[in-house]
Amino acid sequence: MAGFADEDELDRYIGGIFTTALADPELAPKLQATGLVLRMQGTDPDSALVIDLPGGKVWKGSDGGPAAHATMTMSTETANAYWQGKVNLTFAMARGKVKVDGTVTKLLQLAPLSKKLFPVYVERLRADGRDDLVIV
Amino acid sequence: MRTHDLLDISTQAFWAQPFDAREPAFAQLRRERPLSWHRPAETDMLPDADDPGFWALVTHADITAVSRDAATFGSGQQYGGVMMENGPEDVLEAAHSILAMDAPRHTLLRKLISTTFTPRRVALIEDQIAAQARAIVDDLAEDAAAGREVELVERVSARLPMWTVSEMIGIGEADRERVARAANAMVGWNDPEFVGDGDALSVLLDGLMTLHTTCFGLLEERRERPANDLVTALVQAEVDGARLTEEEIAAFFVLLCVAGNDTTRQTTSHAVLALHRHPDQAAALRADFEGMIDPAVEEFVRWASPVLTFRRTARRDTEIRGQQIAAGEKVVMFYGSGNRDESVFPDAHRFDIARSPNPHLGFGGGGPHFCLGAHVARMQLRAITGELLRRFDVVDAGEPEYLAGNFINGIKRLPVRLAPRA
Repeated sequence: MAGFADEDELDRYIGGIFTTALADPELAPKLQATGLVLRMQGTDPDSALVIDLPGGKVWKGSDGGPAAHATMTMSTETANAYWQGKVNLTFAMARGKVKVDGTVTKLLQLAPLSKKLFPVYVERLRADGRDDLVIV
Repeated sequence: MRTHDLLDISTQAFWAQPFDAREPAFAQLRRERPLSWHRPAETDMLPDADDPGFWALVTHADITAVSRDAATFGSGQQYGGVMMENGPEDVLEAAHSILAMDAPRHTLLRKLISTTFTPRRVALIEDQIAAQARAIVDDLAEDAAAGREVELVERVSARLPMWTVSEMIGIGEADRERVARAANAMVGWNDPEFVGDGDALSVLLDGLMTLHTTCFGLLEERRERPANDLVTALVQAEVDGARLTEEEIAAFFVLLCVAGNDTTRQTTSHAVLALHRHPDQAAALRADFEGMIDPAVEEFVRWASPVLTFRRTARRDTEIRGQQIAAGEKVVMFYGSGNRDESVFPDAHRFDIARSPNPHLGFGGGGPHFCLGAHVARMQLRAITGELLRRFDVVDAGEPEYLAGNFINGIKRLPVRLAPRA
């Protein structure tokens, strides 16, 4: 399985999911209502995003951003699989593949919304010619 | 929009009351509105402003019919599971296993699991259950002789199921308490004692992490050193060329730990309390234990209704009692209510160990999700109540502390004083 090359790719694809969702008239209010600021800490390679749902903005880790309520740490490979609906968060946590600091509840409550974003993400990968990242 | 029934059975406050305090509401529904539409269960688990509510099934007939028609009434994760409250799919997949699953996947997995749950394997453990029940009751002798109060749940009710399920699955001595505590917490998500300063989902998740990590550790051990236990059998099991993934085994492990620990435990406490409160029934059982214990166990389970609810979701448009049920609508089966249905159980509020027939819904209403452990549960109840009755009189029982919530009819603590029988 493949991951991302660098933080720019993490931002382009994972950040891109949220940028798209935050522009969606149906999803945006629900995402904002969570009040959650989430830090996605990527490993292999080291990279990060700060996803500010109430503020409606995604920051690259190297660019700063507001303080997060929860940090999810995982390899970029796992992140790529997660957003295609291929990773069960609770199993991944038990396996140590995903580490969460802060409130897990809000993350899990995001799950029904995340599910709507899986096809959007896959579509974007394909549109970008990144079939190497698509898990079939 | 359809109006919600004015008789509100959806609040956490309603489910924080003891069974007997809730029963009049169900009796009224059975009598006046055997099918009623309610607002969604109050929850902070996965609040959903768009959830329209659920149909309440309160009669024995409806619960039985819906349980047996899994083609129409589904249990799958995609419907949000089988609890009154919706749960996140990841949690359902990780914790509910075949409980939140429909055919054909359910049929295959249940078949695979059943091969490890055979009458032969269960028979193997019968003598051990009897010996363990004896040991548990032996441990009470000193306190009984001294007239000291003992806490029944911790000292008796919780111990036999924990031992049995651990022994069957293959959980080592060192992990048992921890696993039982985690399993117990997983049915306590609506009880302030378990929630504390946290929230419902965190309670579930903490329990889940403990159970998963224990299971993954066990799987690694058994792959290297197979043993005569369920984990080994599950690792090796194969049906139609299919094997279980580690994740599937872990989810089933969680289901077994919860179903194995938190049901018989409650029935044991309810049975001891009922026998204490109905001395004529205790006397009748003592007088002819071998003759009476089989119907008595059924009555213990009916009386306790350890599992209070399961939910199904209509997979297509259908009808119950002439009422249109639209695809996607939830129906909640209230087993405790079905078990007090006067049209099936004459004098339903009487605890009667000789009750016959006793088609209670304590193991479910039949169909593909009927309790896989019913046989083991009966065996445990027979052993533990038998030992207790033989050795001790319950001379005094304090007020039970009930578990709050809509899923398990739990007794958290029950102080009793025992006296040795001559």
